[in-house]
Amino acid sequence: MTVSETLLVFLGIPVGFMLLVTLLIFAISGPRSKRYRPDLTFHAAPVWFLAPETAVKVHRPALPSSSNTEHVQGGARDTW
Amino acid sequence: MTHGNAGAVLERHAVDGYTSALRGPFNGSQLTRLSQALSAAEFETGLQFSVYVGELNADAEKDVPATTVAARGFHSELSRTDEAVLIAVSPNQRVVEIVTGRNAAKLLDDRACGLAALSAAASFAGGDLAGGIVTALRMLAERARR
Repeated sequence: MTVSETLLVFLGIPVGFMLLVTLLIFAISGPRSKRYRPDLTFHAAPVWFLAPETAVKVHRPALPSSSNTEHVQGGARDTW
Repeated sequence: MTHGNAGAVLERHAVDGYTSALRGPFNGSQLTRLSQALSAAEFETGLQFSVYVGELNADAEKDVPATTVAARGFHSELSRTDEAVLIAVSPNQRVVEIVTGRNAAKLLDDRACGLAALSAAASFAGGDLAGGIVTALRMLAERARR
């Protein structure tokens, strides 16, 4: 067994196996975690939940016109 | 009783929206918790609760922040606007907006909404989106029931 063959068998195969496992892990978990982290940019698709008759809307509806808000009576806001 | 209602919601999700909802920020168990909280709040109060999570972009008006204008616009698209309560969360803008319709405001004054928004924001600051929304829903439902 030559030196190059020894390196290939005892170094190349283990390293290749580790790379394969790493790639599989990333392929399964996705490239980016959806979990919200306050210090990172949020990337998940917008969702709108309406209960109970209407199901989930994922696409954003047409942006609101500010003139049609006479029905609004109250509310509150907060930041973090 | 409320669990049956929540089951109906999840069934609808499974039919025409549940899979796509998973593209959002929540996993399956979080979606279940949200559905149960939404259904329970609606069942107990008769109001129409709704939750939006995403960007809140609009043009700011005089004395009204842009995120509030956007949240009011989403609220206006609900079917029962007078009875509707919208919780709108924008994680990137780090703001939570609660909008109440004309009749909903009779049960939920601005102070109750402010307390719910404060509690939700505290959870969001800790990275718990679903927990903050569920907390706000429960607080609003509890208040509206009285």
